[in-house]
Amino acid sequence: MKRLVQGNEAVFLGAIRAGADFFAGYPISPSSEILVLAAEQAAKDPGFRFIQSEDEISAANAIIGASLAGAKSFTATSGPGFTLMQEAIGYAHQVEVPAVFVNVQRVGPATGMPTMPAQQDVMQIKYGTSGDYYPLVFYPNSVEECYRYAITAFNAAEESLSPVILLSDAFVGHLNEVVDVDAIEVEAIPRGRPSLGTGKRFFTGLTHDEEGHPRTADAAVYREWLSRIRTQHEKVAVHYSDFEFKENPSSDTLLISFGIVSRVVAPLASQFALFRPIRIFPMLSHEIHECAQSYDKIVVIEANDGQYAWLVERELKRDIVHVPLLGGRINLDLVKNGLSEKLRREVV
Amino acid sequence: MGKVIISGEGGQGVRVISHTMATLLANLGYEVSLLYDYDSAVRGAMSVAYLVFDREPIANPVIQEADILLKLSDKAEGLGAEKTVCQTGLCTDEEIPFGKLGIEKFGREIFGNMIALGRLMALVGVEVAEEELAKVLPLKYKEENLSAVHFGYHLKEEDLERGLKSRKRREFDFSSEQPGVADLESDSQS
Repeated sequence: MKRLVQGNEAVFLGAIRAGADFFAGYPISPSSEILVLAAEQAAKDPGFRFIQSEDEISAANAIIGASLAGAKSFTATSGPGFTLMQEAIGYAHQVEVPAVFVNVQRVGPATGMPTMPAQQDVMQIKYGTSGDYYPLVFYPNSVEECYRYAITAFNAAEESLSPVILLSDAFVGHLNEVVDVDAIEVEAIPRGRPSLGTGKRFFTGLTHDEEGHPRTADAAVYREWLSRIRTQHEKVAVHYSDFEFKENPSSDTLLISFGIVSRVVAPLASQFALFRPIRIFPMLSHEIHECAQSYDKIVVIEANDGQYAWLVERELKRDIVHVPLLGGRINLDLVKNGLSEKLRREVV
Repeated sequence: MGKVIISGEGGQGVRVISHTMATLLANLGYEVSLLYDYDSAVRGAMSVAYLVFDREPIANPVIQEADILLKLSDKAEGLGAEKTVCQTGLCTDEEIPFGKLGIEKFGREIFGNMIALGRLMALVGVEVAEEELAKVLPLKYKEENLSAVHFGYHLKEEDLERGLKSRKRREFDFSSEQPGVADLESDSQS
């Protein structure tokens, strides 16, 4: 049945549809609705477990432990909490733990502006923990997509055996739209890794062999592991090369935006070509190249000071214009003003 | 497409009014987007709801110019609309003392929110059957809420003009023809 659903609620419902049965988290705006719904779920469903932990470090480690024990597990947080989770995320990559981390972004750094939307965790997601790793990251821009990509995030986690990030922002998380979630068909992939069992087991954040035994000075083991992980993640990413492209043959400019900014930019489709990556990482390199080749100017519009623009510039190896939307204010007038200033012509 | 912005302070009822209206419109088959923009201070800080409804999918839910702006406080800046309906003293377009009416007609200031909802529904031109309305109103004080929405929906321009004049006399005097609780109860029974 169609009804009004909130973005954060849709993420939670998608997680349940994906088979999630464990949540641990620490409340933080603008993600807290997910935690509240998880608490309510645990109260009515004995098969669903919930921990409100003492902090985000504990929550992140709890979902890793639950996953190793066989649960489909997830947490939800925002920038400052996500920062605290970085060590655990690195551990989950090292130990190959499927789990979903939802980051509903707000203005930072630190506690910043708790209810104001931002997209300032792009770099943190890609480079926040130590070492080399290849995270899979999705960023929906509607309530319907919050549901769909919550399921997708769990599926990608099971396929890649890694922590997958579902990005959102304060506006997408607090957006209410009319959706019939039961009519959305996304198949949920079952657990990709057997649970602990009761026998001897050993997990370590140290570089290790296939049995989990530390190999802390063996470069060959490390290189083989990294190569396998990279290949594995790239292979899985191909299944989820999701993006939206609205070409515009009468324009010489391609606007790239994602999340809530892409909704704000949408009315400019008659003046510009529009590209929206949904899979943020690994970057949609081939797709961005293909879509950008017909346009003289590439503009990245994002609610940060050029984090994704820098990555696109590196990817395309050409000058990129970036329009930052800062301080939690995201609207079409700011976009038009920014474009007018950067393109040196009036955008109306 | 209809665009409504409701602005106020945390705790004033921006969420109740906007979510009830959005749910009602969704139940009537409209595509609806409702977006909250608020400061993290729980009470007394800026709180804005952007509501868009249409028969087609909604591209941009972040609106700046609305058809109607309901202004319950002066906290939010930079919001515009073709028509502004406000709590007394906050605009010169259409002033309605919602809180005072809530007390006078229904015994509590809080019913002013439902009067505002009724006025908004009338201004956006969406007719609602009482049965549909009853499904989405807060359960507590449902009858009073229904009556208050009904009251707001049926406010007439001439009543508002008279009310504006009477405000200068430090009171807001609606005509006795305006339905009160008793009238509405008898209406609903018939």
